[in-house]
Amino acid sequence: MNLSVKIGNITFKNPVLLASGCFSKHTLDFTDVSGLGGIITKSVTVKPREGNPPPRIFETPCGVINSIGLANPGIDEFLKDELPCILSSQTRVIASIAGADVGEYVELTRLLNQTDVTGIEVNLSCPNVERGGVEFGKDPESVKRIVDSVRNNTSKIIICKLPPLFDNRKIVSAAEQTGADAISLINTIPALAVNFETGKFEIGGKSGGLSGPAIKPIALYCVYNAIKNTSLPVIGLGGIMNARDALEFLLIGARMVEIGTGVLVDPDIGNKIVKGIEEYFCKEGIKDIAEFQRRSRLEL
Amino acid sequence: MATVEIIDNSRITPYIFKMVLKSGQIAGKAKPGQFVNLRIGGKYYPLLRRPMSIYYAEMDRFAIIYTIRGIGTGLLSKYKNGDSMDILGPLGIPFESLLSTGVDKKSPFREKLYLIAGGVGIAPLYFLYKKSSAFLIIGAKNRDGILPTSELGHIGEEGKSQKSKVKCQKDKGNGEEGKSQKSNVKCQKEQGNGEEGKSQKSNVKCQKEQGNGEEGGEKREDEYERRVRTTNTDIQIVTEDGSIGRKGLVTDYLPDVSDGSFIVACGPVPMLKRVKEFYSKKKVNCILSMEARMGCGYGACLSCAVKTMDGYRYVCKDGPAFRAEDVEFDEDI
Repeated sequence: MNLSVKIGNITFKNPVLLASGCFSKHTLDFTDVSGLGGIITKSVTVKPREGNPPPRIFETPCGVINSIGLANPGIDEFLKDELPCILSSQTRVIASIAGADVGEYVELTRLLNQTDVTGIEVNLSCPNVERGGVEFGKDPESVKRIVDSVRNNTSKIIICKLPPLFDNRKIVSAAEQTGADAISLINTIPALAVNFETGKFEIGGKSGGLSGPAIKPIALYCVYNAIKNTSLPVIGLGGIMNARDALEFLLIGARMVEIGTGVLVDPDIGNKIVKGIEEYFCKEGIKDIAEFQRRSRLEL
Repeated sequence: MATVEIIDNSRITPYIFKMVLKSGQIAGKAKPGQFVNLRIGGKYYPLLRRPMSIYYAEMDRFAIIYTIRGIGTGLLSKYKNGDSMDILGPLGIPFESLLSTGVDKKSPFREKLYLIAGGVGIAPLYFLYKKSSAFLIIGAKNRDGILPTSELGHIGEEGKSQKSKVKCQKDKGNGEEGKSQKSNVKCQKEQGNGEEGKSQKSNVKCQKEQGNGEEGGEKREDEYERRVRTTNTDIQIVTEDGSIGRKGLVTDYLPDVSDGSFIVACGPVPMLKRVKEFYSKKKVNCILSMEARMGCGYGACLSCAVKTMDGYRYVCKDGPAFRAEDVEFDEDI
């Protein structure tokens, strides 16, 4: 059995990645990531970011709303402290970057290009201040400009991380016109929670992003639409909690999957999902993911 | 991460539950101030783990205490003996790393460590209390929020030899006790403090005294006295309705301690804020054990932020305990 998959010129030993935001060097105290396809580091910015005011997290039925606000120590500290530790974990490491403008995305790319990371995931969920705060990822022109600039500064693989758009044709096509090697979706879904007893928002930054099993059907819908509209490999994420969930994304044609909220619940979830996929393939006599996708009678 | 067997899960007061779990791995490492992160129910709701302070750990078992507040703790109360649960821990930094001189029974702490607990904030302090020799002040809304004699007695059985008792001199009905006391506790607002201090080895003053004897009625007062006598420990109890111990808020009875003392407090945010304010002008080391909604419990998601002088820090990896002078509270609390 062979679970390996390719993105660009890079082979991953299996299609399971740990998603950005849910993994840090501290996760390595609780799980061995060497058996995974890879891990994606928490989004890093040029300067350190304090993050949003607490509370930053709120649980909803089968889901979690978070509003961390890209809290991170900045690229210098990341390169010095966080990255070396993660690179020693014997798996492929993809660095997630977030910029306030094209210049910052370029600066981050140049610095990361000199490291041993396998690739760069471009977090496009940051607000474009020049365009009234609209997320870069919702504006095809911004997506083109940013990803093209990143491409011009690295030959490593580039994954373009997109928001949960129901009609993502324009954005997907914009990503395709750039030098991106893959797109990943969905990022969290905008969400709000209030408490009528305290009269307060449950999240310090008022609204946040919903993740967890509650969003899986929406994620499948968005991933499915993206796959129909692009020839780029699509990495699916949103509410994956076990091997069955991962297989659903692979079934509709996702090249790889990312696990986010599931890692918070169980830091070892990645290994369990890889094992679950292996067990299923073994039981069904499936030799690789391509065969799994071929054998299904799902008409995409 | 471990699958841990539940040995006991029972209600120890109408309000407080105690769960005893079997894990040599967790119990062997656990230190006061640390917590475990529980995967309650194993389903999608509740989804996130629930952090719980370690209430005590010895040999191959440890315990937590909790009250039913929502879906997680509601489900937690349904676990039966022999059931098992996925638990991560021990997590967080122990109190001892903030208490520079250590907390073992032979340490110079002996008369200098004061623990202030509000509600189930007693959990990590009880563990520290067991490992050290300290004054413990427990506050709750009413008697149902105070640990029962069986728990406090458990401390006594550990062989703590108490030299003093935290109490207010003018408390009604306490007069007889005062005779054999080696230490004495007085209240700031008390009148006639002059006679004090003649044969005292330590001296703890309360900020405020209320004549709870009048409201307390004889039965309640007896119950309180019985508990203190039974446990023979340095424990002061305060309830908002005066149904046991002294009446008021725990912050009405903060010990007026001397320089070099250590204070460790755990409880609701308004209480911690008051504790910080009260001790900020004194030369005492004040440590606050904080709570925040948590995601992972080990420093990956950065959800459990608390505001400090150095910017946001995280309850799970930088805490749960922080130096009071570092913590910044909102003004409207």
